[in-house]
Amino acid sequence: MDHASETEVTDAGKHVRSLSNALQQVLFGQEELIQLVLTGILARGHILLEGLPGLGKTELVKGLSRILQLETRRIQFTPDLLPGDITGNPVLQEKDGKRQFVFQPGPLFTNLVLADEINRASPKTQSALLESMQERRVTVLGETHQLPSPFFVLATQNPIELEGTYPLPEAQLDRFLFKLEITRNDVDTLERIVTDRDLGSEPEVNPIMEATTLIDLLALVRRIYLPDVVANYIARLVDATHPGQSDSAGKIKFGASPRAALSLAAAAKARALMNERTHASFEDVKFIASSVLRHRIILDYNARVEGLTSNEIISLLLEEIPFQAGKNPRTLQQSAPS
Amino acid sequence: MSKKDSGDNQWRKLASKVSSKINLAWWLDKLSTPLLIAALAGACLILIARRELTDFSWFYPSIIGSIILISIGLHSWWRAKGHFESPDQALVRMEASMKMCNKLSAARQGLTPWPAVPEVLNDGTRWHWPRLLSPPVAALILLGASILLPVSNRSDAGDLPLDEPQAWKDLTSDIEALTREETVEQDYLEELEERINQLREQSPNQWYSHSSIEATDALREMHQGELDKLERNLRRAEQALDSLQENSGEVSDYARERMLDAFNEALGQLEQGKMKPNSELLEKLRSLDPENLSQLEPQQLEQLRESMRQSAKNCAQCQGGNGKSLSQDGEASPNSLDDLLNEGSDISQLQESEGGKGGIGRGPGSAPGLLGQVSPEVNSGTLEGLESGDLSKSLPGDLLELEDSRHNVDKTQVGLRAGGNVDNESEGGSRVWRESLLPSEKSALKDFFK
Repeated sequence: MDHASETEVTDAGKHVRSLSNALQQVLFGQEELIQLVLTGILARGHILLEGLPGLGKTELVKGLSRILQLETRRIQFTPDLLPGDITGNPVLQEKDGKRQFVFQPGPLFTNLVLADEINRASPKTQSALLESMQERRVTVLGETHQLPSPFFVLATQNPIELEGTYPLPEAQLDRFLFKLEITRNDVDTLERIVTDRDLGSEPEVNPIMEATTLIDLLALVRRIYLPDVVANYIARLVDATHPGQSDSAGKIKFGASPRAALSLAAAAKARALMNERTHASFEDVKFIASSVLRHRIILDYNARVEGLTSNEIISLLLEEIPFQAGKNPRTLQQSAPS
Repeated sequence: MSKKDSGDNQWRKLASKVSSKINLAWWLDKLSTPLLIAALAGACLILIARRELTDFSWFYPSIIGSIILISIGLHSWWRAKGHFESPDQALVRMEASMKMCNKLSAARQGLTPWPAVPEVLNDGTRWHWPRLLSPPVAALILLGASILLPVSNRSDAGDLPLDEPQAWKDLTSDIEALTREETVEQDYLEELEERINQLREQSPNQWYSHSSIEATDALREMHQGELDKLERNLRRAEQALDSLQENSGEVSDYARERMLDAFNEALGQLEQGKMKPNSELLEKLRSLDPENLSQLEPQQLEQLRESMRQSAKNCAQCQGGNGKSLSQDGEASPNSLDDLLNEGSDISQLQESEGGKGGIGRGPGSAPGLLGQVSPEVNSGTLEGLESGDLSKSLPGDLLELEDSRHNVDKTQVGLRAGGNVDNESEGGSRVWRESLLPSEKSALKDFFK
């Protein structure tokens, strides 16, 4: 496979910048979040947005769908939602004098699915998403239906109001490329929101990119060069999340899966494209490591008692694992990076 | 050469330098422990060799040390080889430390041009000087100490002249002094010197053997005894002469007879002793008639006495003599007559009190506890007076005091009595009955009131 050229990545970078600028008109003061969401999209990943109500999670997804001119469906997850409600149901129809079941596609058959408050649906319904998110297809009554391309799931969940919710199982969480935590806005951002927005009215967003352009960008991301040393760094980083493999993993019960390594590589490539580079780098991996790994490692009881979070453990891991594979001899000491 | 090649070469040269530095650091890291161990072992071996080998030369140790050093270096290199970094790995190290977003890796792959070489290069490491210098400095200190520390060769110690026993020196000194003063007969001194020489002729290793020390002690005791005897006999003879000269007309015949006997006895012992006075003095004494001393010139007699005193003094001043019989100035004591009459009673006491000078007869006697454990002093049989301070609590029949003494009666004189007044009131009376009864009296009282 030939690698992306500098010209290609420069052109792609312009598109991505315009996307980013447009999204910043939808969501104020969340530049890093927008960067990560776009990185996730370019890496063909599904994104889990976690934050308190009213921070703009749904608004971000709706704005993204309009900017990208993608077909978007919103599913409000509730406890009584059934798997068939999202995947689609076979309906008995009469055709040519014969009665037969005809598959009626559900809301999953779209480019961008907004799974709002995903943790309110029952585990049965949540698991209906597993196949669609990983293999981008749906199987109903033994019949497999391919989902449209591109296909993204952007789910939201509320970290509070845990009454009547069903926490996502690890297998479900592992299918999300990123778990992004939306933080509150500062005073300046709030002032800007108050000034520029009216309650109940949606921001006006113009389409920036056609779906075909997005597909080209997705293809280009795959052609971004991942140096061996960066791949090695990703492998060592993921391996170090397992208990006993590093000092920082002492309080981790279960480490990240190989899917996490693939996700890191894909996200690193996407970020390299966004930075108009033809190759991924250590810095890209470091930037997206928390978003990729935080929902994939399970802390043990001691860490929970001590109040340690996944983010803190990942920070320790990033400090512990050096970029280069070889360790330093004792006759040398680490100098400050330039 | 194109710009691309130029950048390529520059970066690769830098990478080679960095990888050399890393590899050197690994080699030094692996070298430090074996170097320290080898230096420690080498230092010990050098010290042992300097101590044990008579003809120690630095040639072979230098060659062996160099071979060991080279072997350790090669072994360390072999151990460090697994950690060595190639220039390509050094490129990664550089791009990581300089936050170059893996541009060097991409350029090495041919995807991007080589970036410009920065003015300040940072490979993310710097020398850890304390860690780096400590092992070689410690090794140098160890080896330097083993070379520079003053260590005497074991064979050198054997060449040192062995000091002969002090007793031999003392005896030799006595021989010289007695020969110089011509105090005693030369035959005795020659015989004594011959015996000392016999002891000296032994192997020096045998000088301090038990038999040699025992023989030396015996010789010294014999010499000391002879000196004492000669000195004592000379003194007795001199005192006898003095007494005879001064008291010839005043003492009784019995006393005069005793003085004559004493002189003759002393003269006889002088003649029979192993150590004789010099022949001239002995001849004069022989020719002397003690019963007719008045016929001699006083000056002649005084001269004879003086020569006897001098000989006795010389004997007393010898290392072997003890000089106890003379006063500080070497003169006879004023009570010489009494001493002469009471002689023979204190000689054994004098010899017994000479302990503590070493030799085979050293030591004050048996060690304490030699015949078993020494029983403690229990002070049994002593009587102690008991006094009751509070007699109100005593019961009839209580033993108030156990005292074998007189009654504690107030012996104050009763003063004049006028009109019924008494100046001094006695403290006898009831107190005697209650507090100062003797045990026999108390027993009698108990028997009476039964």
